[in-house]
Amino acid sequence: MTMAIAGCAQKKWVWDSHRRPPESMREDTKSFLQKLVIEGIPYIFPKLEITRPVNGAIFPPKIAATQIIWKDKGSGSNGWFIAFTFSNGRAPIYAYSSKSSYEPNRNLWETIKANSVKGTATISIYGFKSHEGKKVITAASSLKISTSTDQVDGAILYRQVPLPFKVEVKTFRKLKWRLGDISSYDEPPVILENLNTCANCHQGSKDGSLISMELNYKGDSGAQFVAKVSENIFLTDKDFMTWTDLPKSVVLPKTRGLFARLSPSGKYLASTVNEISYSAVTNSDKYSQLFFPTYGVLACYSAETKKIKLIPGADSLDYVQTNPAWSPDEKTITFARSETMNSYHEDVFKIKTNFENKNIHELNEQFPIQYDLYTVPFNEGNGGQPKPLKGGSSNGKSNYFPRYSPDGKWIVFTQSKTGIMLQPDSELFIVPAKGGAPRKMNCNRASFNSWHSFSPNGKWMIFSSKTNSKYTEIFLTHIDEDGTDSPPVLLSRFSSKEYAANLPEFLNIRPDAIKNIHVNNHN
Amino acid sequence: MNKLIPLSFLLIALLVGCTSYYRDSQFNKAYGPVTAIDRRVTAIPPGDISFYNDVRPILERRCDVCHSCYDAPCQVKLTSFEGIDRGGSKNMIYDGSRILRATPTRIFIDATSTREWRALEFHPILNERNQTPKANVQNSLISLMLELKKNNPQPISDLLPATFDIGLDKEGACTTTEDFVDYKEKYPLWGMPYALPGLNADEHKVLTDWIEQGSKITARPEPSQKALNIITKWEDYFNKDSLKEQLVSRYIYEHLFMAHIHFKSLDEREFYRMVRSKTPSGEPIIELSTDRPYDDPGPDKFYYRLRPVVSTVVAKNHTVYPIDETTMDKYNELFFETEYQVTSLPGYEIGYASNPFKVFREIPAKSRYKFMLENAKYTIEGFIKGPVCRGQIALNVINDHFFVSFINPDKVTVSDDTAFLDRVSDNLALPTSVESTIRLVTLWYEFNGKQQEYLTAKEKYEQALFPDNKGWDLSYIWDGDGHKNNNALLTVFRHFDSASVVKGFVGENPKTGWVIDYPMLERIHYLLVAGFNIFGNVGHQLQTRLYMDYLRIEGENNLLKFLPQNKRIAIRSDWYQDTKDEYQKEFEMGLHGMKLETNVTFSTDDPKIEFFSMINKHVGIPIKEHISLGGCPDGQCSDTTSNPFERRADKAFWKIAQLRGKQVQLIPDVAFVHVDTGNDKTDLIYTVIRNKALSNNSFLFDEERRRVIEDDTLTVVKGYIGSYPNSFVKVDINGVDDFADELVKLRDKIGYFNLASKYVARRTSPNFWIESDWHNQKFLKEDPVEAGIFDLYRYHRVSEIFEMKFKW
Repeated sequence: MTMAIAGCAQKKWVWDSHRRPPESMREDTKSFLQKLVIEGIPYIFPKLEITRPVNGAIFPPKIAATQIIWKDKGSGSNGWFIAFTFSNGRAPIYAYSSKSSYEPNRNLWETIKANSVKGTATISIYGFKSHEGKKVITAASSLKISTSTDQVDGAILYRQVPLPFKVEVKTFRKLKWRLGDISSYDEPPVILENLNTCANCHQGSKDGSLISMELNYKGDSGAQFVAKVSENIFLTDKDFMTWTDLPKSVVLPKTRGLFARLSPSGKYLASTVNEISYSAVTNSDKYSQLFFPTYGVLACYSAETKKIKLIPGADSLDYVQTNPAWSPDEKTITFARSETMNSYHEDVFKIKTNFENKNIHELNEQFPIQYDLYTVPFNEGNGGQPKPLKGGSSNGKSNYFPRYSPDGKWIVFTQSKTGIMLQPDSELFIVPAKGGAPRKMNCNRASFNSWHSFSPNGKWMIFSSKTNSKYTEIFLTHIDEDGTDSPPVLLSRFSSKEYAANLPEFLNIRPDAIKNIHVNNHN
Repeated sequence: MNKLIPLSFLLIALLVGCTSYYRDSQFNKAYGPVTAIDRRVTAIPPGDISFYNDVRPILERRCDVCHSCYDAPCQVKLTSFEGIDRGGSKNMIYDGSRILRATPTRIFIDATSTREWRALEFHPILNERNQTPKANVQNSLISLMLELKKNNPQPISDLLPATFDIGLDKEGACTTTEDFVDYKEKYPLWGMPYALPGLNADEHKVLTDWIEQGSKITARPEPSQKALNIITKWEDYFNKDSLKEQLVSRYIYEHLFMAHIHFKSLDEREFYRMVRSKTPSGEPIIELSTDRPYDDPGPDKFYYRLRPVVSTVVAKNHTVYPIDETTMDKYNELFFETEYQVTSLPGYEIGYASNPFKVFREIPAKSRYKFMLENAKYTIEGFIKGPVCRGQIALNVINDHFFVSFINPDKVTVSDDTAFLDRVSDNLALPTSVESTIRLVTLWYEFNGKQQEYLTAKEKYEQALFPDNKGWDLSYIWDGDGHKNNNALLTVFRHFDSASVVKGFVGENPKTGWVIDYPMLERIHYLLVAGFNIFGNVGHQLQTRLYMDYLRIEGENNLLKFLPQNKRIAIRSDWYQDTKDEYQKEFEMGLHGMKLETNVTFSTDDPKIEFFSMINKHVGIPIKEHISLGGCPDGQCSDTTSNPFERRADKAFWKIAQLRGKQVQLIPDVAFVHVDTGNDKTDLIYTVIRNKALSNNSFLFDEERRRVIEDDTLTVVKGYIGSYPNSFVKVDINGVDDFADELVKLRDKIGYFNLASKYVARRTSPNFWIESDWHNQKFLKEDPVEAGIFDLYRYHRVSEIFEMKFKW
């Protein structure tokens, strides 16, 4: 690929001296760049690939500086010239990097954001090298970003998981929960770690006063806590309920609860119960497990009565009903449903995690389960008639993980050919909450998009993707009134080279609202 | 150390003996010694319980569903007072490991008094000590078992507790009054009815009151005068003096000895057995107790008599042989209006009497064959419902579903040639000619050789008949005497360890079929019915099973002989997958004796299916019973009445009938489905049968390895097929579509459990007996003559399916 860059630079230029002050450049390099900017570039060059940020990305006003990363391997470039130009008429800002990444300093970043609110900022990268004693351009590319005035409210709670994931205490002890602030230049602080057991889905109430998480407590794999948010949360018996309290048929394994969700008011929890799941460890790191429920019904737990009861309309034994999502008014639950697929188990009475010497694609071929989205009235736990969600069902794909926008207008869900979790081809779709034509979201990355969560004000949504590496990362996308989303911004400070960052969840709290969650005698 | 082992056994034996002696002495002290009790009374005091009016109906519905026939648990047969009085035994009749022949214990035959049964090691189940009300209850195993159940009722839970063993050969279940204290402690839930819900309070009271009152019995009602007249007429007919008449009577007896003979002019539920008695007509019958009908009756004169069937009629051994006003004429036409001479009466020597081709050589073969064909269903049913037909190994000689037709007796074939059959009679000898033996291998070779020689002779005979090498055409199939006799076509279903036979071709086209000729039909009867000694040893039982392989192959090959020669190998190879060629060649005869080309013209590439269709058209007798839903396009059966319930249910069951292969894995072998319309008069009954495919039938064991699940089918029919239901299913007419949809979607064990919880009367269901009673009554209403009490010995426990492996 090649592209033409010509006459895009302004005559006046200002160096970003954060890392590579022009004074440190060789004079000939400096002259070359000056000439390039002043005279423009009338030639056609190979295109380099800017991998971060992405073209069209919208940044929140308070987000910490993003790294700019590009790939320019084939052109022989040994230096890169970065130009920030603005549609509002502000003078361009230029920078130089001798490696294929660049991060603006705080001041520069704030300048870039401030000047891309009402227009766009263009980031152009030029690669160059010395040829016969002269500097020549070798590759170039540019993209546009902008900055929203919509604030990202709330904090992001997410889990870090070592890969490959193994169901063992050693792995559990490495799990960390971090509470992230997008404006911070530091890695988010850990608020929960050193568990000897597994813990999963977590979420908060709409007003941010409660936090809940599935956490195997005192050997009870069905335990889930609901606690008041405070700087230091000390979890004791009184904070836990357990899905195992649900009476079950003798033929079913112990109920543990699955994909449980706290209702917006915090009065209820909804979860898959009586569940049977297929779970396998694959032979690859990136998609190291295949997991999906093959059987289960939805139940709700009332914080007031302390009772668990099945939700009529989502309690059919002919289907697996899972992934409940509460509408903001708590009147409706949207969930994923499939015909029961217990036949996938070699022995449905001896469920275990299998090691499969196959990759995720081979396993998906073997277990092509597909889910449809359904809605059911909650009706204070009395349920109602389940109805397929138009746009999220009967489309020859697997539709799952529905989440309502806080204004109740939209449902964002994950879609892939099969499965319900960790699918390489999974993409996010947005559909009116009452059903309608689904739109594939602009924020989708090349590989695996799921585990999304709306910010409390509904203007932003985070999700996970494996587009950059086997370690899942968290992305942020802006969503406007029409449900149109922007190309996403990577929350790079939430990423790790050793851990996958998954289950990101917006909590309606200040980022420093929780400093530590302590689990009393959790073994 | 080695010396210590026998010593310890001795010590244990002494301890057991001492305990037993101590218990007996305690019982003697408390209740007096055991003595046989005569319970006969001329009349029951007013207000007391009557066996026939009060007790027997309860026993029929609650106890005889298991405690009947040879496989009654602990040989406790509760189908008659005599069976109750006889009591139980710890010896099993069905014993696959028996080295020596066992002493027969047939009720009404091998002993006639309580003392004789005690001598045969039967223990009482009624009180035989001091006859006081208290002792009657406390010393009756029946009341103890009922009380145990009452005190430990059937758990109304999801699953039958694992402590129940519902296998056919469970151990530890046979106890005595004296040892009951141990049984009670060890098996607190094992009261009676075993592994099923207990009696209701009224039923319990009736039985315990009768026992408390001394278990009195009045004389059994005598047959009516009308019945006596008919019996006398027939007994006279069977006991005439000429050699021919004596030989014919012997022939008829050896074929009807296990029939429930029904005279159409008598009550629908009145049946008789043809027996050999020491006494002549008009006197009380004293039945000769020989193992088999062709065993030597002894030097004294005996008489063929008709003895009323007094036991409860149970479906599993109810083989009805109908007799009407035309039967005697037919016998006369077959046996006495045909020209032949009987020069001497054959003897009963062992090894000779078992060969009907020798014993009855002077009776024309066509007459013998026509006699058997006249009630062919009865003839085949003899082996399906007879004592041979019990257990998986005995049954896996046949496929789960196959069609049966017969060679036309009016055509010139070996079936028609008395002289030919006489010539080859040595080779038609059966292994039943050898008494209980363990010479399995040598006998197998011996009879294999005989069979091959017979087939060679038969082929030569047929080649002479068809010099142009074109053999049988469609007219060689018996058409039921001009489309009149609906025995012409039969269908056999095997249900793992039991089987059924019905008239007509029922269900979809099966993998195989048999065409039976006279020599084969006669050998089936003499091998599996007349010659099968249930008290024989393991060698006898295995020889019987192994020889049956030859007969099955012969029947299948007769079918192949109607098909194009160039297709036979491929078709047969499909029937016998995974068998080594050399094995087939040496032991199974493969396609031996089949050089003739067919004289049937085919127009399709699937001659087997085409031929089944041709036969059906050729016979052309519509069968109203057992309409197969699979054959009703879109569930619209041509016979369906205007009953809208039936039309709706038919459509739903048609969907079920389409299921195949892996989809039917979770469906039991035999399920009776009661469609509840809210009105008993319009309620409907369907039978769902799972036909399990095997790659071949060539081996006794390891059936699971030979299963071809992908080829399994379902047969769904209106009405009842099967004597041993595995499931009673009840579906509301308004939910019948949902039921069908759920069954169609069934994929896993938990789905099965959920479905069963919703629709199946389970062993733990409070409504179990209501459904059981409904089916028995419905069967009786549908078929007043053929109906019998269904057996629940093979009724499923839902958790059985959990142990099985399924492929998806």
